[in-house]
Amino acid sequence: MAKKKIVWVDDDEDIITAFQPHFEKRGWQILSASSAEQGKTLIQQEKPDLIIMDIIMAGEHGYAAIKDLKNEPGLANVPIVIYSGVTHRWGETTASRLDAVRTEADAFVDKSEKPSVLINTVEQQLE
Amino acid sequence: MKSKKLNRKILISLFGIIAIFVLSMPVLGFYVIKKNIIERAQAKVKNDLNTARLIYQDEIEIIRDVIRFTALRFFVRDAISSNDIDTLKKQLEEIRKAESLDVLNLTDENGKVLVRSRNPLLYGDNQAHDELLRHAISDKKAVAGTMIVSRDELIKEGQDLAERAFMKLIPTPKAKPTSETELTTGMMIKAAAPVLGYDGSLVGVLYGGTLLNRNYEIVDRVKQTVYQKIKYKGRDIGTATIFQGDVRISTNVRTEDGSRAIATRVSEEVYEQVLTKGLDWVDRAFVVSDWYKTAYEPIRDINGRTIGILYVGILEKPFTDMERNTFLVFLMIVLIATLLACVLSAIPAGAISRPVTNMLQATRKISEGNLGYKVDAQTGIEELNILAASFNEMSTRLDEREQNLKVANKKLAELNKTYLDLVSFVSHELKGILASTTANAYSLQDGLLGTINDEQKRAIHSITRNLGYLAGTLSRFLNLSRIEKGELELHRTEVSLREDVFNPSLEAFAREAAEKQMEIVNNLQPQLKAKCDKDFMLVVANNLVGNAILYGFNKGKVVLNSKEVGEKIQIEVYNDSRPVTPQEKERLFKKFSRLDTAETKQAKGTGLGLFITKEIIAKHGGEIWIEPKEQGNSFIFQIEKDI
Repeated sequence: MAKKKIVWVDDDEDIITAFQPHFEKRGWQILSASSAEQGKTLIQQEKPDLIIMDIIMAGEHGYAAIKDLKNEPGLANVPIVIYSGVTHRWGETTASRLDAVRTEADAFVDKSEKPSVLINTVEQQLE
Repeated sequence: MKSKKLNRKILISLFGIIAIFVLSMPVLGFYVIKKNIIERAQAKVKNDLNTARLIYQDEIEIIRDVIRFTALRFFVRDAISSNDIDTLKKQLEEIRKAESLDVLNLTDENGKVLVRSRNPLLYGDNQAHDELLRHAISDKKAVAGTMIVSRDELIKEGQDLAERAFMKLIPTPKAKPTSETELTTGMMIKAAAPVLGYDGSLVGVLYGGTLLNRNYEIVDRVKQTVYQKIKYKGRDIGTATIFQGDVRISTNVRTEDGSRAIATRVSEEVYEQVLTKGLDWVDRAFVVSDWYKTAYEPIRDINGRTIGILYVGILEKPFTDMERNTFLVFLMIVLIATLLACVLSAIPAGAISRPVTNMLQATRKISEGNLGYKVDAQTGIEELNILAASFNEMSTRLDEREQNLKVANKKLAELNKTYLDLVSFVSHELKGILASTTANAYSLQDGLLGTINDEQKRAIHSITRNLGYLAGTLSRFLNLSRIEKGELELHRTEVSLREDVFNPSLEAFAREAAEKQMEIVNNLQPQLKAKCDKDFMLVVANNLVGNAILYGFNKGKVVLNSKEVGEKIQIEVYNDSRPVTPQEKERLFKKFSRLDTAETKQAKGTGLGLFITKEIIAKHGGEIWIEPKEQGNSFIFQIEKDI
């Protein structure tokens, strides 16, 4: 079985590093990007099996990036997991935009959840 | 009561008042006019009768005086003493004609006729039976009065006189029925005076008089004196009549053909009152062919016997016409005044109702949100002005308050936004740090970064446990603040409760369950679906599953069961544990309450989980409760399927 390729877009590199051992243990390769723009380029190049996307980032937010990716013909089928600290309904704008984007994303994991929740979600989405 | 518009109501009231006046005025007018015109007419007739009586009386006195003064003349006395009959005849006839007397006779002291001036050939008969003569002889004084004279006596005085008195009675409606068909006697004003000798002894009696039958002098004088020549529509307004008994013998009442209505008779009613009872009669009466205001009084002879009637009357028509015309004018005035009143009453009605209507409109405006709307406070009605001023004051206050509220709300919204932004930022930042720290700790704990000894393992284990608690606490507080701010809005989607909610939750706690060597039995039906908020249901599942594992016995069982109850889904989370007491049951779902037991002491908790759970389930139209079992507890909740 080929190694699963995962592009993880988050401006907090610590979090990606922290999950590295867990993902490698399961035979998943993490390609990290620290901004939405960088992430999109990386995804275009690498055509990953799965994308993990933060929402609140410096520069372009995850909302727009997810929309763009889902509109990309070659990428529409790549599952996107939102992994964010933004709970789903903070403030009017955040709530409505997040709700909209969540319907486009394939899964949502709050950053307050245990690491195992993210890992289980990714595992499910890769199947 | 059916409500009417104010304007209409005021108008109706005013019209009602007007109507009362309008209806009462003609009654009043009718009464006043009747009193003034008709009753005055009646009173006038009564006065006229007095005048008529004076004229009649005057006529008697004139005749008496003529007789008296003639009796005093020397030639009479001298001629009697010298028995100069021819001189007497000549002189008396001259006097009779000069004084327009019908009769002028002289008798001796015993009443034997010496001279009959009108019929000189007849003399010598005795007239002592005549009442007047008797009085003159016995009292030696002049007397006068009205007398009935028999036909025989009239013939003695002259055939022409008897014929003047004779009348064929004309049948008269309303008259007293009678068998008589003609009047043969006459009625005369007669006077008698003694003729005294030089020694004062009675030497003769002079007597004479005027036959009233067909003699119109008195009645015409009455008419002339009282009514002048006033005519109404070609008819004499005033009339006078002398009755002999009940028969008109002298009158200026005219019949239809314009002739004097003699030989007709008085009505039975008047007959009874005047002739029978001897009383006056004052009333309206139908005279010959018209209605008159009339007055009748008896004519008496010198002995006081009622022998005829003196009558005056005013044609009623001028008065009734005047009455009618006055009444019509009066009605016209009332009508015009009524119309004016109706028109004018609309002004005060409008003056009252318009401000009220305006105020009504203003309250509607305010209720529609147009606060600060003002009404005109210069209406001309003081009370309404006060009301309007108060209303405007209220309106101003309302507007001020509304403005203040808007400002306050805006401030609040800004504050809230700032707060939410802060929470959003904090939660994002904290969660990120927590997530990476936890992932790192697990990497260490799981030996992914190299083997660690048991002591290190225990330390790391403590770290991960506390980090988990920290994360849970953080998310619970965030949830709590959302609940308290009323932000618990559901975003319902169709959710598989086993696949999407409880399985992830069991997986999240799989590590803890394994550590406590617990047996997890998931009996949830795979097809169990509800239209609910997945995120919130995850909070519920995490709370219930987390509690079940955290507070369950080591090596105990955790069992999940489900069933459908009508339109609701029921899920039961059971764990082997110490059954809760009734007192504990009550406190369980309260905010910040934690059970003070050995089990709970070991595990950290905020006392928020079950409170939040209960609130979320309530939002889903359901409820949650705990059922203590023999060896454990079951948390059971129901939510609406809504599918």
